[in-house]
Amino acid sequence: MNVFDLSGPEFLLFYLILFIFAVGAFLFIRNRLESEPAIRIKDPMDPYAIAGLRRGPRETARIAFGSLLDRGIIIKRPDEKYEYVPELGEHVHGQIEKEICQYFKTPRGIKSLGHQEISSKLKNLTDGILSSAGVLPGARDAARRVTLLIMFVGGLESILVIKLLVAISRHKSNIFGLVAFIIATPIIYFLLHRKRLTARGSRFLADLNRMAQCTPEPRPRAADEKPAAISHAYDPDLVMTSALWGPIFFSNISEDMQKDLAQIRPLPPAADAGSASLPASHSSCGSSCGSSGGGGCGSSGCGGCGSN
Amino acid sequence: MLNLQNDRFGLGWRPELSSGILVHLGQIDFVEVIAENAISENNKSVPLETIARHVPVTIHGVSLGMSSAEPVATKRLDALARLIGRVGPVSWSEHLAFVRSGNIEIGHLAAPPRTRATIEGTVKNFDRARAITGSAPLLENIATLVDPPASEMNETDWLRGSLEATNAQMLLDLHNLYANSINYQFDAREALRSLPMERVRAVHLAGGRRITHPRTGAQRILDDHLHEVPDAVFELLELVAALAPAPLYVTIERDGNYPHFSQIMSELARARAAMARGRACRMQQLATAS
Repeated sequence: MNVFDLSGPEFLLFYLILFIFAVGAFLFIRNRLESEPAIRIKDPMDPYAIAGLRRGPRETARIAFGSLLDRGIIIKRPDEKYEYVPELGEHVHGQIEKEICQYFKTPRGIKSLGHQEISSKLKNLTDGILSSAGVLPGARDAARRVTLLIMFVGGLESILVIKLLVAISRHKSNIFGLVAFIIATPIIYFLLHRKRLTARGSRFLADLNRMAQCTPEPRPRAADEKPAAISHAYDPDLVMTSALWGPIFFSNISEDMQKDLAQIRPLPPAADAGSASLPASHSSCGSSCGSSGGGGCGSSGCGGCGSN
Repeated sequence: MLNLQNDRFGLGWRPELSSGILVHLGQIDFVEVIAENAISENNKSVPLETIARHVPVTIHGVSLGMSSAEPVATKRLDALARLIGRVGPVSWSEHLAFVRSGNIEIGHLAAPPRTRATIEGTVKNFDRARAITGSAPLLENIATLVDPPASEMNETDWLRGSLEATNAQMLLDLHNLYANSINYQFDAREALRSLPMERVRAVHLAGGRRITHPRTGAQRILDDHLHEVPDAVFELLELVAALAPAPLYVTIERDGNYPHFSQIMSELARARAAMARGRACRMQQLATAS
């Protein structure tokens, strides 16, 4: 059977079915190519980038700023503006913190963290980290995506164009359906092509969100567990805790500073962002991994015969 | 040559510790999950499968009753087999203990009389467990406040006999051994030397507290998993590292009275250091011997 000999409506139906299968194949192949290597939560990743992945660039700014405040590298002035302390520059960690400190060399209000000037820089830095980790498409993923796009769009468009030429050669006038498909096919594929996260990135984020959602919030340090003096050193564990559960764990920040930080609210997630789609409740946790007091047959743990 | 880097250090997964574990996953080699908790509530083990994608998991059972005259219930083994199939753990383990008799659930791990009969019972249960789950469990020694009556042998002889009869590998609980050594006045270090250390594949570290016997006033150690690991147990760990030829999975167990998570990580660091010293000693011994 020569599909190009099909009548107009029959050909359009054939093409629609072909298109649906082709979209499925496109998504399947892309997901398979982008699934490996899997990204583990164990693997080292900048916690600021994780904050940005989960809630967007404003969250990166909020957590990084909170960490700098907590360490005394940025201070609040009497005029309510925030300012970087250059004498503590040796304790600034990484490019994200450097950009924020540079920005706050000029005293500013905290809401300026949401301005385009700093926000876009932090987004670029975060995206760079996430691309290197494979959460966002890196160079190799991007090249594969383009190749797939060209293959599928090229193949489908070729079929449509051949049919169009056949229709024109046979003096068919009702070609609007064909033209519509010729226009729509690359648009639809381009929209599919623009998926922000890789398959491995989507899985990583989903797992991270689920685990953060299903674990109780950590217990902040009690007063007698805090170190005697504020440390200016970057604490990756504290930053990671804050990236997962919020800046309240920066215990050296005063209440009014926490209120200021709360003003840097993450923007609502974009439709395809994937990154900020945090479930509102813990209802999807199921039984989690354990009820409380998981040890042994009873309260005495695994080894003993029980309490006295 | 012994590859020291194959020793692994992990924590028992508890909801109260889960956030700390999540934050520190880069510094934790594996987590140990209690099988019964994961199986409960209609066999839903999410997010256990999620965890297993990101960190190796070992499964630890507490209610099979391996060293029992009664056969382990098939239903329990089937549930465990499904869990193992779903999660793909590095290993699974159970206790050389009994937990029920007839229809009575004891609610604790109880030490059976140390006799040939209980060794034979252990063998039967071990073989059934291996057949149904598809893999052999590591067998763990337990602490006991009651010296099992009608025993014919001491603890180390019975442990050795059970391990040899089953041809099983061992999960050596050092605080259990330590507690028993204090409570029944034997030398824990000598006991270690008389155990088949070539069978040890995993180690548990935990803490307990001193209790006073209500009648005799005697001081005993209760292995309650509610306190930090004592210095003596870390010293035993160092000896284990010097004696055991195989790479080990070392788990710190904590079941309550949780300190700030940084303290748990400090204990893990101490365990790494103790193992490193022990392994260095072992390498020196091997070099001297050759």
